[in-house]
Amino acid sequence: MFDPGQVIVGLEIGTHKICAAVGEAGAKGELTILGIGQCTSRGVRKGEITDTTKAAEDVRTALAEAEQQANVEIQEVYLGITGNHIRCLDSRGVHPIASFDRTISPEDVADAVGNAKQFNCPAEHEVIDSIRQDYKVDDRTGIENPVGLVGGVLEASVHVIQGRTSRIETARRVVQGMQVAVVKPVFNGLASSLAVLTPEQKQQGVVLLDLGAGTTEYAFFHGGVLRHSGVLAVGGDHVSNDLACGLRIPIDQAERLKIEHGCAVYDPALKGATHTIPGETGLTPRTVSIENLHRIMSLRIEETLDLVARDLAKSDAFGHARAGVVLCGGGARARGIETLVERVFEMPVGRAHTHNVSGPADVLANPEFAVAIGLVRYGAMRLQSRSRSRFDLKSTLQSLFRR
Amino acid sequence: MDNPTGPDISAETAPAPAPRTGFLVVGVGRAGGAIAELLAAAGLDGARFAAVDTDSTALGRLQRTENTTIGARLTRGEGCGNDLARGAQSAEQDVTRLRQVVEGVRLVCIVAGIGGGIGGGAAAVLARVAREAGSLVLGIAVLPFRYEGPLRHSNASEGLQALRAASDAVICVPNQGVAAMLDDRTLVTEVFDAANVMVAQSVASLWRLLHRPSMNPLGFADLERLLRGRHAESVFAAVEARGPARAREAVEKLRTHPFLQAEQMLVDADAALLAVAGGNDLRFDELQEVQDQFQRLCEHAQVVTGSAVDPALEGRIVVTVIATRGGAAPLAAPQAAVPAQTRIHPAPEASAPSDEPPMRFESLAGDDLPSSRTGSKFVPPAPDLTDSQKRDLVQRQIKNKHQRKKTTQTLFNFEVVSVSRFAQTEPVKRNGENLDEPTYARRGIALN
Repeated sequence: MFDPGQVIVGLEIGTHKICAAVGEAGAKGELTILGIGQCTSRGVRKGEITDTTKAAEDVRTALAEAEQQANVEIQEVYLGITGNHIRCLDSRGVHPIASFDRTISPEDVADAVGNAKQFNCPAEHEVIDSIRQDYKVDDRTGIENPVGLVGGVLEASVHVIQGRTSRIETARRVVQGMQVAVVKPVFNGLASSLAVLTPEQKQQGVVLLDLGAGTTEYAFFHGGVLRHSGVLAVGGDHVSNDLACGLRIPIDQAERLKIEHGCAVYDPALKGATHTIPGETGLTPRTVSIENLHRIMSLRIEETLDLVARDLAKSDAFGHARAGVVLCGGGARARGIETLVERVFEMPVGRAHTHNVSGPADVLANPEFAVAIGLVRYGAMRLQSRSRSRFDLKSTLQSLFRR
Repeated sequence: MDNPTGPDISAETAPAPAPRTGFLVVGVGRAGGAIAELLAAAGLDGARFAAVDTDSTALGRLQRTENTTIGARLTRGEGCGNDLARGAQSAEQDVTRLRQVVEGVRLVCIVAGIGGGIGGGAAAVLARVAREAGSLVLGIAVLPFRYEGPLRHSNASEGLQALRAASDAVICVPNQGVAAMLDDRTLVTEVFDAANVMVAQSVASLWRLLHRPSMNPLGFADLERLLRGRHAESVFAAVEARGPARAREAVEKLRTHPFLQAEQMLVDADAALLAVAGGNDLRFDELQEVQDQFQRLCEHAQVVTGSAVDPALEGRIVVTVIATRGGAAPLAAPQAAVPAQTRIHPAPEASAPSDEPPMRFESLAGDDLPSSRTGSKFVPPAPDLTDSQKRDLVQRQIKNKHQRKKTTQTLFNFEVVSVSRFAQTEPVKRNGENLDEPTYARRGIALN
């Protein structure tokens, strides 16, 4: 049976930081975060590992810190995956109801879902997750549970998240290199939505926007179902790089300047404002224009949001997301970001709070830990569904995400 | 000239006719001639057709085109034997005659089997001459079949390079793509015929694309913008569909089109031009469907779309696609790529724009076409001078006219983009833009 005391670890190998969250799940699905370990990341660009040696060192540091804080030994982790290689798409599967009385049985449902998962996946890609959306019986759409209904044809739709096998394998090897098993790779966008979105929001329609350092993930829920998700491999790092180019300063100074003086919206009133960067280790002090700083930053962020909005518009998110946009990730801390998101998406905007989780207050309030906490929740849900139906492991797993 | 045949004489004695037409298709070499002949048989509205070859017997077989034999002194009316230099020399020998062919034409479309000696060698010379005469030059290079061997392939790449340097825009049509479409038992003659027909259809649809009155017109400027600087690979495809599901069918045909390498070309494309034309019954949702589906096919490409209605297309839909892919090697402006001795221009009266009758092109396609280049003030050296003498003559003229030097100055390619932080990673591309480059730089916003 499901052991409520079992420790679940989520590991996010991010572009800016590597973060490991240790938690345990209660009998009713509530989470308790026992410890968080983090380390500045050096070997990751745009969400993908570019230097395995450095990444491995940083992962080790983060895991060690988490072990120490939570006072546990980490044996297996749920690994967060993101990057430009991730593709998200909807797939449909049709199953004719052949039984005599034409009543839909659980086996019919399983067959339809099985058919939906048979789709053209490029050879070098693998499916990370496939999440049930809803069913269609003959011409009735939007059915959550078709078992027991009478009809001729059952159609299941599944949201499939796939990624390049080699990239996933690289991340997996780095973790396995320190004798820690990877239970399952999980898409970061899915993980953070598990951590911060409430069932009510998912029902009403909500867009989750995870503004990371290397990537921007997004997920759109409506009717309690994941309708669309995706990732754009542009993030805070790009803002810093733009600033470094535009203001002609080193990238670390650009990073600091962005955090201390950055703003996501450009205010023409700031024309002529300047900021002097104090000289350090032999460098002469430099004066940069705050106006240009804000302009470069707002151009980049607006472009990123615009690209995301355009992709979301394809799944008609704008007509249905009544609960608005929820922001998480480091970019959610940027000054003026809410104004900009509101302008681009034309929806109410809020910052993420983890829900149904207990733990250190500073951890829970921090939007950057959403992915790691979400990975723990993913693990908890997986374990719960396993214990509930030991004989039918796969089929009920995905239905949990509708909650 | 040793043994001039009938059609040649008639063409030579009657040089470029007085009324100017907007469009001239010149077939260079045997393949080019055959395609020009096919097009002439189909009859494009307001277009003229010409053929240029060293092989006078081959030219003699073409009935519907204005034929010009070149290099008679060099080849004695035979072919070039796959020798590019020979092809180029033949053309250089008869530059004046070539100039007569292209005189006063707005848009010259040069069709050449680029793997052959004449196609590969002479096409570039003709393109240069046409540009100098003030025409816009569009090259259509038919790439050889694979079986034709390495010589013709190396000829093709060399010839293509020369043609690109001399023309405003070049489109490649790979013959091998046609082979993929035919079944195994097809006869050789049929393959060549099919390839020629394919190219001819493409040129015809291109003509329609530029010529037809349309809602959102696509002009030569669009074409040029698409092709300029992208000296990688550009391909071309035109499909036609009819019936109730014609929009979907057209997209499906595009996906399986041999020239697009079973849609792989579209997937890799970083810029594409899409033109949709239909009869008066063309519906908006069809237009939209084609556009949507196409955009989905080439998600990384920057797509320029045009649409047109042509009553003659009643019940049909014609979709034309030009896609380019590959590293956009930033090249200097083509003018600069033409070697110095080629700046031999006719007298300025060659293209006096004021007294010419309004052309069809302008009246229909509006401001799509950039105005013709005005002729140069250079006095052309006599054609029978040697190359070095010509160069000397031109050099002397340049020295005399200092302001001419300005035209040879190329634009500084302003590309101060830094992706340094992301240099090791796979670039993130959307709509043909590399998102790793700073947004402000891509938008061209100046930071004061």
